[in-house]
Amino acid sequence: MFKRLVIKPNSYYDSIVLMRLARKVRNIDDVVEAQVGMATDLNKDAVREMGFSSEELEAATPNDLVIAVVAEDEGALDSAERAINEGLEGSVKREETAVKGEKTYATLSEAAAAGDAGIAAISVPGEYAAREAREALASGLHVFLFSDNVSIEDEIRLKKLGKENGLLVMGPDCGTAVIGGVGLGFANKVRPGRIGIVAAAGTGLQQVMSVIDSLGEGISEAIGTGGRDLSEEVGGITTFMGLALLESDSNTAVKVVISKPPHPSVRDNLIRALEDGSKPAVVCFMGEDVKAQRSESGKVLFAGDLEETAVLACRLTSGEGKERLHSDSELDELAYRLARTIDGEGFLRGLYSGGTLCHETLTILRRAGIDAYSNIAQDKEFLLTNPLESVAHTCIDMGEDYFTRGKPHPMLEPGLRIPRHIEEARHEDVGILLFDLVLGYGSHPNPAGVTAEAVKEARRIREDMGKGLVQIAVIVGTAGDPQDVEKQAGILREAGAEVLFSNRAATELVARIIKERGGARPCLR
Amino acid sequence: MEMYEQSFYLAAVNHGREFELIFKHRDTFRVHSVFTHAINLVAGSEFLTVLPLARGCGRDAATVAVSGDFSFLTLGVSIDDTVIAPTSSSLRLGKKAVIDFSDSRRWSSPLEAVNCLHLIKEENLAVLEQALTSKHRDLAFHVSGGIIEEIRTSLLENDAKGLDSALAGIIGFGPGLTPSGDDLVLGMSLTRSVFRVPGRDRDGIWEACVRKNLGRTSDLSAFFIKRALEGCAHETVERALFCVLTGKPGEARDAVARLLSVGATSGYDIGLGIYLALDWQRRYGWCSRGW
Repeated sequence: MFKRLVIKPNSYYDSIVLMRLARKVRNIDDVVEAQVGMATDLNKDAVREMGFSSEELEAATPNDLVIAVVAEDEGALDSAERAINEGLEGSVKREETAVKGEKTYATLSEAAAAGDAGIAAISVPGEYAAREAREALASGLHVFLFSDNVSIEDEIRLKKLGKENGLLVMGPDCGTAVIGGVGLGFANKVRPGRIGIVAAAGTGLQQVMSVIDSLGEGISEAIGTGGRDLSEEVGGITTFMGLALLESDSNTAVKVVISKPPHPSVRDNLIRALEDGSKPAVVCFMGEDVKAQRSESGKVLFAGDLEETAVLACRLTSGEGKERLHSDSELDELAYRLARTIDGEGFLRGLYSGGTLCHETLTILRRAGIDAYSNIAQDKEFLLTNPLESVAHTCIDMGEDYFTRGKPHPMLEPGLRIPRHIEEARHEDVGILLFDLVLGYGSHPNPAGVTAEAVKEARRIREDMGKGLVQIAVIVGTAGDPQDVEKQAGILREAGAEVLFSNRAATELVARIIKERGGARPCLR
Repeated sequence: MEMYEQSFYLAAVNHGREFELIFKHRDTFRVHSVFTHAINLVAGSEFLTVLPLARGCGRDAATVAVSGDFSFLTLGVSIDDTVIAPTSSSLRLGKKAVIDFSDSRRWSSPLEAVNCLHLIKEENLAVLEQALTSKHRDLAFHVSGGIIEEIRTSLLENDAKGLDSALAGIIGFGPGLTPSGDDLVLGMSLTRSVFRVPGRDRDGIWEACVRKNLGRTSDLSAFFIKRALEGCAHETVERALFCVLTGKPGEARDAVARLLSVGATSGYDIGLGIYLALDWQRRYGWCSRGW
């Protein structure tokens, strides 16, 4: 094998250009492997895995471009290097994409100048995201910043710059938004309606939107903010801007805010802003114990979970008696039946692709007096020392960085969760497997089909062991989603899983099963 | 979060011991063939197979987490594509597909749990016989029943020449990538191997004649038969044999039903091979004897 490593110091190129180049080079005859990317730790690891090692590589920084090619002969290396240089010099042809009406551009500002776009959706490695976002704001575009690993200093600078120019910065690490009926990132197909949402929680927003859709109401706008927006440092810049937009939006009748508990000073300002507004509001601060159901003026309702948030918003909108998707009696009946199919310890193992949903599950279990370990536990006592090893009751956010470094997010590829699903089923002391499927645009086209195979395999393993296992799926999605929520539910039910459409209901079902079997057990470590 | 650019990123769930070779020999494997539910990789005379989770694993196989209706033909993987291990736990097939082995579990054969076989469970053998006779189809062996008799007679008489001639008429016989005759020989070879102790029992005329005739069939099928002589086969086959040998009748029934549903003819032919070997073992002690 022949190898060539080229480092181009201080050379920044758009990641799409680089990915295209790498693909183009791999297609050259006799090229075995090629990496073209910025010299981030992850990319340097990939280059080392190809068998390269040099001081030059070790010294390269994320501002340098690294090109590594392995080929079967020198000629192929030359062809590859030539192709890369031509590409970097701008001779890469801009091709029409396969989707009619879509065009590709070399830079963000070029794209902004070419059309009448109002929002830039940015998904590049975090090191470069702030730069692209600044360029978008300079071009007069709102920003949907899907990228994570953006520093809080950059976030504050970007949001202040956006505010000065009347532009929203949704993110960083913003998973979901629906603006003007168009979904950004991971988004469900929801009916248009009169409920406007500002959310610092991606899958939390998807859960609320999906329940609203199921209850027959709809969404005016859903604005994502990124998870740090309500911190003391950021001060809720995007949240307040979003609420102001919803206040002036004639299509919005009810405002909703979803977030983890904000910093106290930001929280007070937020509630005050909502009370000062002309429209009723529902607030869900996940993890916070709801002390009062209404604010002093009564204009703001406090919800204890995501499903309740949606129900309250629907009631405020239509005034009709909208109820939760799964009643208490349904859950009691199910719990009674399922509890009797489990032997032994019957520990819970929750495997989540949605971080917000995992967080909600931990909160609801805690309220029920059931402690669970997690890789995202707020309480250090229950923080897993090794995310690969479950302890007693455990819920894992498998979309967290630890699991997604160099891999797709499990919402994109649910198969990545399957080995863990099957591994958990092999443990005799496990009685309940709980997992989520988040549907919508951007997600896997058939997550239930993939997961159903794990459900069946887990059943087979437990049958061989002579031990029962309850498998509970939470599906977050709507009838309009490309995957079709009912079709997905049918696939999982046929495989042997219980299916619920609210994470709150699924978690309360789990809590009921655990209590049916002898109450909240002490955790073991 | 970043939008991931890889076209197909599949998670391996289980892998057989031999699959680990690919990470040691890195760039020696190529894509041999791609089917709806299987990708075969080849390096010299060694084969490895990638299968959907639902299809089960094996010593030379890996299973990946995909839906039941997923087709490997959509992966954009072509015959002769290179198979590269860009990391110590991932494989790239062709330009688009990556298989991630970082959470994959080493598969263990159900037959490893079989030892000290003295008796064949008559009720389980009856389950297998019943399943075979109730599956009506135009079986190739309806017309080659004479060859089976020829094999039986040759074995009983320890007649290597006769056995060689009979196997020459059966190996490579029938349609498909693994012809019917090969599947029958595979089922017989695997079953015989279970009753034999590696290192202690020397090869008999069966092993010698089967090996001699492997050139009559496809490389892939020859590889599967060679593995069966060593006591290895796909999980579905091993599980069926395991359940017939040691399971309860209900378990045997389920495992045999699963085996018989494999392929157009393969499952049936392998099942028939298992049945013949067990029947001859019961009657003549064939498997545990030298010939």
